[in-house]
Order: sequence, then structure tokens, then C-alpha cells
Amino acid sequence: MAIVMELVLPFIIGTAIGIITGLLPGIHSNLASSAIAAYIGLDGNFSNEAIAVMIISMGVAHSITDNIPSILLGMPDAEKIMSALPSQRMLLEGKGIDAVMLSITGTLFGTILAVAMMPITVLFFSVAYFQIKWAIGYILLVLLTILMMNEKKKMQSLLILIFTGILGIFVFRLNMKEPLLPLLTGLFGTSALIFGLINRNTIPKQHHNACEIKKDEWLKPSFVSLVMGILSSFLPGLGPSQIASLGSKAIKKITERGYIVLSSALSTVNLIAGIAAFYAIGKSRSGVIAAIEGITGNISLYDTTIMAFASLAAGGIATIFTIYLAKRMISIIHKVNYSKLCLSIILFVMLIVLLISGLTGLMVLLTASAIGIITITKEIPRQNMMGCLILPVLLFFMGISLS
Amino acid sequence: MNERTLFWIAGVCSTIGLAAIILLPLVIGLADIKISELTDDDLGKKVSITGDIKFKVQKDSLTIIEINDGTGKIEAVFFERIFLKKEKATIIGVVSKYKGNLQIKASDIR
Repeated sequence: MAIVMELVLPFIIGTAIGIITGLLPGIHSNLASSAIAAYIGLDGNFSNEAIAVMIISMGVAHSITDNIPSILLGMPDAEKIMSALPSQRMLLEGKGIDAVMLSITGTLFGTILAVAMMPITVLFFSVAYFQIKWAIGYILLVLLTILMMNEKKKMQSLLILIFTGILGIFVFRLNMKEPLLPLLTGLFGTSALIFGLINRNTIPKQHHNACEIKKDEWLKPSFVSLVMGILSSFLPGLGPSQIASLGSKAIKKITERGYIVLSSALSTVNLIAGIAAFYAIGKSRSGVIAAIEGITGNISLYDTTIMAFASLAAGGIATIFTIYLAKRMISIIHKVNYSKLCLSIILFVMLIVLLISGLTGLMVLLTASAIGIITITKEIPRQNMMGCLILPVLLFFMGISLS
Repeated sequence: MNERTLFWIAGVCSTIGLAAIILLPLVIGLADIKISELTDDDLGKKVSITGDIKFKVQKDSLTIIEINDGTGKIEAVFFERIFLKKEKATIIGVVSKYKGNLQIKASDIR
């Protein structure tokens, strides 16, 4: 019995943590995975394999339940930024439940496809990465140029990209634990919360039943997200939000509904493909995988297989919970005191950052939040703030050292 | 695609995933490791050791077994009472450290 429960118990704990943290706006999966690795990983009651299962289950569950605060409270994570605008439009039209169902469909099918294609993804990484490693910096530069050329506010987008890039370079040189925590939380989490607090946002009454999702709204976007998600985990620094922008060009006449499916699926595919990348090339491409790397070191084929199935199970369970919770929340969301909720979460996040990253982390959080607020108020696409990761990675791969 | 279909697909995914998590560790057993090969780098890893066993402590909530595989000796700790009338066994557990010495936090004995 002990052997049977060895991985089941950590899986249940991880999925439960992921469902809870996914529901909390402003809380990124990196924070939860760091906390699990830091506190549960050290007490010796679970094996490294069990901790890895716990963290990946948390990550996948989080990415699915995260659809609720992303859409219903207007608090998207960095990965879901691209679907935020069409989702919020639907919310303001009283069709929030449609947006949530589209997102859930995307994340579930993203999970299924990513797990099913895991063997091919491993093969792709093993073969392709070392062949074109030398060109990754240039590929990133070309893709960034394409993204910038497609922006409406080109100069402002470029400035934000560079500005957050400089912030990222400085932050990574600071002597601080978990630098990504205050950086990404400030840019994408607390900035949106503070903006919501200032604007005293209110949510209109919502329809209760979602419309049926047509085949062309989920089938092609799911498959495109598989390819783009693997590409996103292949190229360091380039997140799902930028790839979503590129991926939408691959589908002719993509509707807003299809775009929501694509963008949502991408974040989960990116996470699960990250397992394949870590196994094949030993590189972690997300905070969740980095937390696993910190516990296990390199992973075996057996560990990869177990984590893939844990992702599938977590995806299924989280989907069921999310649908159930979304339908309950949709009927009461317009009654929520939005200001009090935002304030509570801001204070909670500040406490977490202070505990993990200290006073330096708090300063980074405040600075990043300020940049985030500027980006939102000037209506500059928020995915440009990923410059905080893209620029340092670009410089690294082009061999430019700033030390 | 409607809500009911999503529920069913999610249910199937959960079932397949959970079944794999339960069955894979049973089907794909661990290869035995030699005690002499264990180092601090193995801390936290799940291992399987086969050898001669000797009970050192046997209480209601604690059993300590010394296992000797011919290359060395190591203590395996169970946080329960273990009854076993065998001289040789396979112990499965996680490598840990206690008072500077490597030991196994055991989860199974066969």
C-alpha cells in the first residue's frame, strides 16, 4: 500500500495546491513551486521523484484554474496576457462563462496533446537543440523584430521591452532569492491589481450557461498551440504570450474565441513541453521546471514518464474543479467587493515576497509594479514586459556579457 | 464541444493519469543499488537494496533494520512495527542522513 500511495499522495497535494493558487489572482505558479521546493522538499518525508510529481501537478492544475481569476477578475498571468483582452470584452458583455469555457477547453486539449506528443518532443529537442544552439540568439532577434513590426504602438512597445530588459538584467545580478518572483509578480500581477483598485472596476451580471464551442474554435487552435508551445519552450526567454501573437498569424481568420483557446492552450503546452526539454537537454525553461531541477537534478526517462502522466491526471481533475467553480462563481461575481479583494491580495503578495526574497525583493516588486502600471495606463501591450527575460537571454546567447 | 463532453474527457484523462501513477512504480521496479555506491549525492533518491537483514530496534512506531549486501552495511528506518521472519530481504526507501550517517527512510520490505 505504501508503494501505491508513494506518488498518489504527493500528486493529490500538488494538484490541490495548484487549484488553490490558481484561483488566487496575482499568485504565479513559480511562487508556489518555489515554496514547495523550499519547504516541503527539504523535510525528507517525500522522495525527489514524489516532489517532482507534486510540483508538476501543481503547475498544470494552476494553469487550468488560473483561467478563473484571469477572466472573471481581469487578473491574467504573464502567460495568459494575450487572451486577456478578448476574454475581458466577453466578460463585460456578460459572457464571462463562455470565455472561461473556451480557456478551459484550450488548456485541457493543450495538456492532452502535449502529453501524447511527449516522445516526439523529446526526440525533437535531443536532435534539434544542439544543432541550432549557436543560432538561438539570432532566431530570438528575428522573432522579436517580427513581433515589434506587428505592434500598433511600435516605439512605446520597444521602449517598454528595453526598459524591462534593463530591469531584468539588474535584478538577476542582485543577491536575492527567487528573483523571478518579485519581478514577474510586480510586472503582471500586482500592477493589474493596483490598476483595478484605482479604477474601482465593477463586473456586470453574467449569463449562466455557456454556448457550445464549435469544432473550428478549438481543433485547429489546439494543434497550432502544440507546435507553437513546443517552439516557445525550445527558445529561452520567449514566453507563451509572444508565441500566441505569432501563432495567431498561422490561422487564417482566427476568431476571438479561437484566439482564447490558442493562448490558453499555449501556456499549458509550454509547461509540459518544458519537461521534455529538461529531460532531453537538461535546461529548465520555466520556474516550475527550475524548482524541480533544484530538487532532482537531471531527470530519467522514468521520471519524465511519471511527470507526463501526473500532468494528464492533474489536468483532468483541475478541469472538472474549474468548470464546477466557474459556474458557481459566475452567479455571484458581480457582487464581489473588487477593491477589498485586490487590496487583500496585494498585501498577501507583498508578505510572500518579503518572506522569500527579503527587502530587496520588495523593492523589485514595487519597481516592477510601477512599470506595469505605466504599461497598462498607456495601453501598451503587456507582453512587451517579457523583455525582462528576453533581453538578458538574447544577450547571453549572443555572447554579450555585461559583467 | 459542450460542458458535458469536457467533463467526460477530463474524467478519462484523470483516470488514465492516476492509473499510470499507481501502476508504473509497481510494474517498473527499481534496480538494486550497492551500499558501497551510495554517496551524499544520492540524498532524496528512492533506492532498492537487497541483502542480509538484522533487526536492531523493534517498537510499535519504530523499527530499525541493518542490511548488509556484501559491499557494506546501512540502517533502514521504518516508522511502524515490522514483522519479518527472513534473513534476507529487499528494502525500498529514500536515502537520508541521520547524525552524519547515510540511512534509508524505508517504505517497503519484501
